[in-house]
Amino acid sequence: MNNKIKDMIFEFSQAYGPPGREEGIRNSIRKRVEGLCDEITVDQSGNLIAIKHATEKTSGRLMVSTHMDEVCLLCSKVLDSGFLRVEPVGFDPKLLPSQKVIVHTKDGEQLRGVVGMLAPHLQTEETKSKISDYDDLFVDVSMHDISKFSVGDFITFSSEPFESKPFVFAKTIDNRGCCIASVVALEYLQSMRHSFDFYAVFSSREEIGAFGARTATSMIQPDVSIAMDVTFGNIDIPGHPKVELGKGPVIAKGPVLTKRVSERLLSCGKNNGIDTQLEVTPSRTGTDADQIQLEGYPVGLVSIPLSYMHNTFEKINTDDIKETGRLLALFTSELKQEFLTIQSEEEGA
Amino acid sequence: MKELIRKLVDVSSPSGHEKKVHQVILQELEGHVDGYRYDNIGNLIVWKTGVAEKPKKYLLDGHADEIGVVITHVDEKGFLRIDPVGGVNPLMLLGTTLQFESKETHEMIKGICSYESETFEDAKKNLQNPNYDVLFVDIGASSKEEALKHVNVGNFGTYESPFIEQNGKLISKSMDDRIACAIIVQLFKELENTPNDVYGVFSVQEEVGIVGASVAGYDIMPDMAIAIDVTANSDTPKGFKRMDLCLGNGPAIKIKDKASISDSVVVDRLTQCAKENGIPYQYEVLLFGGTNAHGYQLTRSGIASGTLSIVTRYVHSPHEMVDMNDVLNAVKLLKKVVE
Amino acid sequence: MYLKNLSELYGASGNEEAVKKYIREIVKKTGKIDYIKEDHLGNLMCFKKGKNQKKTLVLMAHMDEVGLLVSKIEEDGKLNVLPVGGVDPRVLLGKRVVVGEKNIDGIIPFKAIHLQKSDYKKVPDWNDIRVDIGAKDKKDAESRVGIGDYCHFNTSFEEYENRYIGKAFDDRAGCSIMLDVLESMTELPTYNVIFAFVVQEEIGLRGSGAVLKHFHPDAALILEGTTAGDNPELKKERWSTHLDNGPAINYLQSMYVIDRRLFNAIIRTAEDIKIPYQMKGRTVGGTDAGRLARSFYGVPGAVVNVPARYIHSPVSVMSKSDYHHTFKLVKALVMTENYLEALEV
Repeated sequence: MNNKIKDMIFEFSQAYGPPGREEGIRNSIRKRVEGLCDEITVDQSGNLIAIKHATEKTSGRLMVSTHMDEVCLLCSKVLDSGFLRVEPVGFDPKLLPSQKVIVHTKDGEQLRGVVGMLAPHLQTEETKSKISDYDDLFVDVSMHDISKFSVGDFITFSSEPFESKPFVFAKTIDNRGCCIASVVALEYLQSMRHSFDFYAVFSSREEIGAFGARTATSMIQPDVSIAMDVTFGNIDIPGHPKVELGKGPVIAKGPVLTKRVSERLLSCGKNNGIDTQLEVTPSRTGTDADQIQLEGYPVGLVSIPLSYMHNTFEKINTDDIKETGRLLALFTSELKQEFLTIQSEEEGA
Repeated sequence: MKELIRKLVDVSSPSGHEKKVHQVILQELEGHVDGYRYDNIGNLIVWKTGVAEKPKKYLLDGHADEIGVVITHVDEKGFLRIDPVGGVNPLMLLGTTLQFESKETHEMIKGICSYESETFEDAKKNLQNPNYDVLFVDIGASSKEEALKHVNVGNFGTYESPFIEQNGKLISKSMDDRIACAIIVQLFKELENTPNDVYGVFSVQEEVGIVGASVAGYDIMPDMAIAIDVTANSDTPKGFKRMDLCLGNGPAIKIKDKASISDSVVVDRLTQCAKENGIPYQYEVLLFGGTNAHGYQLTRSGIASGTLSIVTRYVHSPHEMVDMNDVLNAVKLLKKVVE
Repeated sequence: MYLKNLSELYGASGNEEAVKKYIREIVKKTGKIDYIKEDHLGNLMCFKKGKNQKKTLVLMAHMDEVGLLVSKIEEDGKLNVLPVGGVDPRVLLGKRVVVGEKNIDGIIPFKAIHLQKSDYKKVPDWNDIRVDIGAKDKKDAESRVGIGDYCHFNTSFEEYENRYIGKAFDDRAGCSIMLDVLESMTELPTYNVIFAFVVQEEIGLRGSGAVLKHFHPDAALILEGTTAGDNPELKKERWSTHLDNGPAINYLQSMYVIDRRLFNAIIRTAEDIKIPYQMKGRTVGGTDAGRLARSFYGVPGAVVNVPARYIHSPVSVMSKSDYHHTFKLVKALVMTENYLEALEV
């Protein structure tokens, strides 16, 4: 399984998928889930929805939502001298100097660009101590005919993934690592009985805050849902419990998350020998969970620890992905109708 | 069409008070729509039914509200304190004329905005970095009683500025977003026997946080929603070096702003119609701001949405400038899109 | 008048269960509700049929208060906390709190003044704040509380001739007024009324929208406890409200302009029943009216506030006469047709 996961990371990380333009990653995921589910649709917002029906009489719908879009840049101005000015979607400008990028043109071409930085010999004391922000940066595309580029072209990063067991280094593990966990869950479910229909939603547009998860939830109207995203691993954040790579999926507790779902995730892990970690979210979580809650549905949040989030190389432990997928499958399989009944009461007074 | 634009920008309708401009819009649309209604929170929705057997549904949105100010306090000497309604930079108010509707006469009362300055140091600080705590509005009243004859706490007002036509440009307040309302009205006037259903939404309260457009699409659920709004420019001296938006280069097909990325089907359709009909256009990546497209994108199970922008100089100032050709081309383009 | 009990109950955003239970008991005791519904988020919605069932008003107040969440337990047994809702760390120093489901007592200390040097004027940040529950070490602390446990302010309610003192008047005052209105009904209201006690307002208006999925109201009336600012440190022109001047009416709040028709109906009603009222002087801060207007199919709303000093801190001060006048205003708006019929204009 770990090898399969590694292969998926390599593949998914290279797939094209800026927010609102997720065609590339959608196809890659689709190929992987095709044999594992009963129905696949793509909805109005570009969400990919894979449905595996309950193996017995269905008690309701369980939705697992993970976003598939990536951080990137956009061309905001074309300079005749062979350069592009850019606008980011979630990307740290400090990582750009000397970075190789790919510009996706309106004609469907993928052209190489390079983010340059002035050589040290030509720098002054003043410029050496400054961090370049987007107003100072540019992409060198002088190796191509400038007329091929236009304002609005999306730009993604080139980074060749590699493995160093048990870790994999690649881009866009936020959040495709979690998409892989959904695929893994579907794999495990092939040999499990479950009485809830399993909706694996690969959602769009999370990185720009125009959440596909919101509209998918509105359409699916799940009885229970779980959002999956990555969280900061192996880094000291004052006041927060330390989350470590390799120590298993992270369950979040907090007001946005439905207490019963969080508790059930924790007990499911305990009962099945899956190590879990805990994190606390005192208000909005910054994940698809926020949207699912606003639509009015019970939601839990499971996260996979990740180092160097939104970097050109993020780092993840493939065991964590596997265990997260396994946790979701077991949660689904163990979910019974009784879990729903307490959630909404109606009485005459 | 210039008269239409002038009529619309002249109305003083800040967020939450769109009724006035809605009435002018309805007058203009009389005989040109198949029906209209107001929804729960006051969005004005008009429509023309398509003649095709399986008509597509298009929704065009222009927000009816403009930015403004609200009176929070009337002091003993008749001076008014204000807070902003929408994104009104306090620097824009210094030396500006504001207008409020008088309770007594129902005419528009003008007010001049200035700042506190007890000492030279205060004056310098407040002039360089004004905030609403140090601003006040003078309507020329000599006492609280006199001021209260005309206005009170809770009254909303807007900029007051003349409509100017010069060198092919139009300059006035509230081009944001009356220019869009004008474009939609003009479109409905020109549409005849369209195959598709076309909805025009003159939405409310965009400037305080995309309120109207978050719910306007709920009962309609069109196949495509296009918000029409102003966008910034980069073609003035030392304008934003990272953006490329020029007056006169045609309506702008928005790719991205801070609130959304336009759906590719909308971008593609706008591009295709522009190319096929020789209509000039430019692509837009805006470094700040958002439009009603964001509201439609997140409605229910999602609506394919995008924005067609009119490049505008001096947005959110009392003198916003647009190029008449861009406006006419926007009408032309949208007509082709919905047909 | 349930303000004392409601104020003393513990219920920060996401942990409103105890408050909901209490309110539900009172509601059932009145026997005046036709139908109660609770949803996944924890909202409590109580439906009362009116004489005329063609229109429905949703009357709303939020049950949650601001508080803290335990995020980490240190080796020495002290707790790290994070704010739930808008809590200024400066109000926490030296206060008593209760932690977890068993309401374990704790304090939030600051270094003895004798030992302070450059930190005398330092604004504490969340990394410096610790809760001490008297545990010997981490293990001892873990046997009593856990990560994810809630911490609430611990304040006893006090009543004076024209003042109430207590915590969470934002928005238990609103909840209390709703219960008073319900209890005092001697006939049916003109139209249907939903008494909606919602959750998680303080962390971003997260609970109220879901109410629109269970019911289809025509308009909303939100009750809030709001800022005052009427103290010697703020100039009069920048006060939000003034205690004893009556219920405060909003015309503009953060991200929403109050529906002008409903605003006018409130003013007219206040004039008709001859109670003192004031305009809110500041336009900052959001309420559930903003959430309802932009959720699903959209519901227009207005807000009536009881002024309260020092909200979002362990001790708030409110005027009795303001509470009473607000109650009268809300009752009139709920029972008569003016409010809902204002939308017909």
